[in-house]
Amino acid sequence: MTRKNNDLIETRGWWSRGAGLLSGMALATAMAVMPASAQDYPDKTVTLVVPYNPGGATDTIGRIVADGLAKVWDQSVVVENKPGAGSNIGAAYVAHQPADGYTLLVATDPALVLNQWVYDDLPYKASDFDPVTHLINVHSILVVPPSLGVSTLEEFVDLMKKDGSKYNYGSPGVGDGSHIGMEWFKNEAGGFEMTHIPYTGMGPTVQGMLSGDIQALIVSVVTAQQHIEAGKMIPLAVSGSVRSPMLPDVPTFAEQGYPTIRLGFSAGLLAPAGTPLEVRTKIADAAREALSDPAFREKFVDGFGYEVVSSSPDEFAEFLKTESEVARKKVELAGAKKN
Amino acid sequence: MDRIIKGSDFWAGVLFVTFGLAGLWFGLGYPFGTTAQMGPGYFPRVISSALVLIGVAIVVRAVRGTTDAEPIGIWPIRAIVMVLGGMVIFGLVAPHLGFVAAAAAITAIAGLASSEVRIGELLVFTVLLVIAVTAVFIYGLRLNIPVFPWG
Amino acid sequence: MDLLANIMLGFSVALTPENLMYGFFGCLLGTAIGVLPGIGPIATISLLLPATFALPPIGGLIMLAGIYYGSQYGGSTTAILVNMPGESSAVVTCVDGYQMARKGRAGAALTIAALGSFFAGTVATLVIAGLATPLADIAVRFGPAEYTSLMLLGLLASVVLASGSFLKALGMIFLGLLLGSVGTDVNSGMSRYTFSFFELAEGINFVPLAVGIFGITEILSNLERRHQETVSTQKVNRLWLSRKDLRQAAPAVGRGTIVGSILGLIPGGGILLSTFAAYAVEKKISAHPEEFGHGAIQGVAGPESANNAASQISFIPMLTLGIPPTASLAMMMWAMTIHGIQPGPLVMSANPQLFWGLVASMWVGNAILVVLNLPLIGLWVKLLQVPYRLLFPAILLFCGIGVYSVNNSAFDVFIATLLGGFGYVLRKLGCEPAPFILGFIIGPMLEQNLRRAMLISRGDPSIFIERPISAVLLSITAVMVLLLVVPAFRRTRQKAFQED
Repeated sequence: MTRKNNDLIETRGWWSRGAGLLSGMALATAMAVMPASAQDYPDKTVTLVVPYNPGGATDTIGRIVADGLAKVWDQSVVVENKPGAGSNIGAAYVAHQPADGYTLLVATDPALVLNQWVYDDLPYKASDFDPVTHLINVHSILVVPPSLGVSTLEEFVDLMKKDGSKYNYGSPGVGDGSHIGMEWFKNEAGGFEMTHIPYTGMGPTVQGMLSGDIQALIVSVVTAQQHIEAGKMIPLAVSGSVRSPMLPDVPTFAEQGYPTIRLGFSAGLLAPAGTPLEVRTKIADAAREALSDPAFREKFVDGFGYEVVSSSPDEFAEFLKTESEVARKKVELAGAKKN
Repeated sequence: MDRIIKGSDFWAGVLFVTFGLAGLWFGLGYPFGTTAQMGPGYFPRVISSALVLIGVAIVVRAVRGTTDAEPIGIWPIRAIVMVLGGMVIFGLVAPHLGFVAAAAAITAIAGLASSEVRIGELLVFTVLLVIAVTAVFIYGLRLNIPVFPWG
Repeated sequence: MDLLANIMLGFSVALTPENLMYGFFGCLLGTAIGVLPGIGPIATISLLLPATFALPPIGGLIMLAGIYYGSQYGGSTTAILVNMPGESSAVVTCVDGYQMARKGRAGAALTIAALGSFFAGTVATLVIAGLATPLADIAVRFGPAEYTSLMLLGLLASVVLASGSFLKALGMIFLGLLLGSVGTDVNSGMSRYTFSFFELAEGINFVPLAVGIFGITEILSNLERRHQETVSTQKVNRLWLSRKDLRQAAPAVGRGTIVGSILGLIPGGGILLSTFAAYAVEKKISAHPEEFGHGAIQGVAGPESANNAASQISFIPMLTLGIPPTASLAMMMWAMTIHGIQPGPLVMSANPQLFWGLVASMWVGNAILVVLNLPLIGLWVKLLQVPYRLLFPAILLFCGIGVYSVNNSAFDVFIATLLGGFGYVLRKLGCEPAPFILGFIIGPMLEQNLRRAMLISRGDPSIFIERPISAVLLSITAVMVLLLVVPAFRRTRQKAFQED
C-alpha cells in the first residue's frame, strides 16, 4: 500500500496557517508556465457532479469542496446530483462530458475503484476518466456487541476460528465497503466462518447490532462513536494508518498485526479523460487550499474524523492504480459481482 | 358469453394470470435457493404462483357468473393518446431541447386531450404556465435541467 | 420536574423571533413546493435542503423541520385535491380524502387533516419529551423476524383499503409485490426483471409509480367521465367542518394518534403501516363501514393523525439510535449531522440545547403549519374551480417535472407514463390502486426481512413463533385472515345459492 505519496495534512500543524500563502505562491509559479487555456481556467461555472442524492456523505463532501473551490477561484462552483445505480449513472454522465475541467465527478470508492469489478457491463470505462485529486479518507471501525464477551481483536479472531459458524456479521448491502472489508479481514485473519447478513443501508444494520442479530460490523467511526461511548458497542480496531482522533484509545488494524486492512472509503475528484494536466493540477491545488481552511478542519476533521489527503493528479493516479488492484481481489473474495 | 367478456372481473383475472405467468417465465433463471439461504428466485416464484392462482379463481368466478362486475365501458382513445403522448414527449424533449420546450409541449399536447379544448385559450394558458413554472423551478429552485436548447 | 425544565429549555431556544421566522419560512416554502402535484416531500426537502446549510445550526434545523412538516402537509393536500400521494404515507389519505373532494368537501378534508395532524403532533411531542429514552428500547426489539410478521400483518390489513372485491384486492397486493421485486436483489446482487435496463437496477422509484398509478390514471378517468368542467366538485359548500363532521372525526383523530404513536417507534415501515392500521381501525369500528372509500371523514382524520403522530414519534429512534425511519427523515438526519448534531444515544446529554430546541421546534413547526394553512385551504379549494380542461394539463406538467427532477431521468418519465396507462387499465377492470402500491412498498421489506430471519435462524421457521413480539403479530394476522376469509366465503356461497 503506497501511502507515502499522499500528503497527510493532519500530521502537519503548520500547514493550515501557511496554506493560503504557500499555495498562493505555488499557484503563481504554476500559472506562469501554463498554456493559455489552463491559465484562464476557470472562466465560467464549474460543475461538480455528485452521483448520490442530496444529504449523504458524498454529497456533503461535494458541497464542502464546491464551496471551498468557489472561494479560492472567486468563480461559481455548483453541485449537481445525479444519483442512481451505485453512482454509475452520475459517473457515466461525467465520462461523456467535454474534457475541459468544467464538469468533474465527486467519486467515492464505488466509482473510484469498486464498480469496474462489481458490474459486468458498465456504461463507461475506468479509462474514461483522468484523476484530479484525492480529497479525503473516511475511516471505519470494527465493532462487536458487549454480549459477545470479547474486547480485543485477538480474542475476536480466536472465538471466530473456534465457533464462527454460530455468528453473523452485518453490512448495509452486498458489495458495500463494509461487506467487502469484512470478507477481506476474514481472509487476512486466516479464514473463519461467519454468516453475512445483508441489510439495506447502515441505519438498519446498526439496529441489527443493537437488537442482537449480528455480532460484528464494520461501520464509520462517526456513526459508531456514541454507541461505543454508551457501552452498546465494543470497538476492536480502526482502519487507517493512524488512530482516529475521535477514538484515540482504539488501536489500528496495523498495530494489531493486520497492516493490509484498509476499510472505510476515499473520496476524490475525477475529470473526463483528456482533460489537460495543467487544468487538473490547478484544480488539485485549489482543492488542497480549500481543505486546509481552519473552519473546515474544525467541523469535519475533528467532528467527523475525516482524514484530509490532498494529492497531485499523478499521485492520485498512482493511488488509484494500487487500490483498484486491491479492490479486484476484494470483490472476488467477497463474491460481490453483480450482473 | 357476452356478459363474461364485457365484465371487468374476467379480464382482471386474465391480467393477473398473465403477470403471474410472466413472473414465472422471466424468473426461470433466478436461483431458488434453500429455506436457509433463499435465492433471488424464491420470493418472485412464490408471488407469481400465488398471482396465477388468484387470477384463476377470479376467472372461474366470472365464468360461473357468481359476481356481477361492472362492465368495462368505453376507451377514450383521444385522451389516452394525448395524455400519455404528452408525457412521452416531455421525457424525450427535456434532456435535449430543454425545459421550456418540454413544458410547453406537454401542456399543449395534453390540453388537446379534452373534448372541450379551446385552442386560443390553451395557447395563452400554456405560455403563462411555462413562464411561471420556469421562474419557480429553474430560477427559484435551481432545478438541474437545461432551460433552452442552447443551455 | 425534569420534563418541564426540558420543555422550557426547548422553548427558550425555539421561540426567539429569529427562529420563529425561520420556522415560518420553512413551513411556507415546504407547503408551497409540496403542494405542487408530483413533487413529494423527498423532492421538496432535497430541493430546499441546501438553503438551510447557510443558517446557524438551530435556525437551520427549525427551518428544516418547517420544510418537512410543510412538505408532508403539502403531500396530503395533493392526495386530497387531485388524488396524488406525495409520499407513501399519504396513499391512504387518497382513498377517502379524494372522494370527499369529489363530493365538494375538499375544504372539510383539508381542515380535518390540518387539525388532526396538529393534535397528533402535540401529543407526540409530549411523548417524546417525556419518554424518549425508555421508548427507544422498543425499536431495537424489532429484528428481522418481528419485521417479517409485521409486514405480513400489514399486507393483510391493506385489503381493507379496497372497497370492492376481496379477491381482486388480494390480486393487486400480489401484483404490487411482484413489481416491488424489480431491481437488484439485495442478498445476491442479481438483477431481477430489469430486462437489461440499467435504470431499473435500484427498482422502480416511488415517485414515477405514484404519479403514474394515481396521477395520470386519475386524469384519464376524469377525461373519460366527460363532465369535465370543475370535475372534482359539484359545489364547494363550506370550508369549515360541520358539527356532524366534528363529532365523527374527533374520536378518529384520538385513535389515529394512539396508533401512530405506537407504530412510529418502529423504524422502516412504521409510519406507513400506522396510516392503514388507523384506517383499518376506523373502518372496523364504524357503524357504516360501507361509507369508507366513498368519502368518510374518519378515513381521512384517522390516517392523517396517525401519520403525523408516527412521523413525529419516529424522531425517537432517529435521534436516540441514529436510525432514520424513512428517506425524507434520513435527509433530516443528515442535515442535523451537518449542523453538528450527530444523532445517537448521547445526543440528549451531550447537546441538550439543540436536542430540546429541536423537540420544541417540532411543536412550533406544527403550530405554524396550522396557522399558515387554515387560511390557505380556501385558496387550494379555489384552485379546483379552474376549468378542468386547463387544470389537468397543468397537473400533468407538474407530474412531468416532479418525476424528471428526482433523478434527472427521462427513463423515469417513461416509466410513469407506462404505469399511468397500466393503472388506467386496472381502474377499468375494477382493481383499486391502494393495495397495489402498498404491496409494492412492503414487498421488498417483507422479502429482505424474511430472508434475513431465515439466514439468522439457519433456516428454522420456528424463529417466528419463538420470538414473543413476532408470535403476537402472527396471531393477530391469523385472526384477521379468519375475519376476512370467513365472511367473504359466506357471501360468495350465499350469492351462489341465490343464483342457483
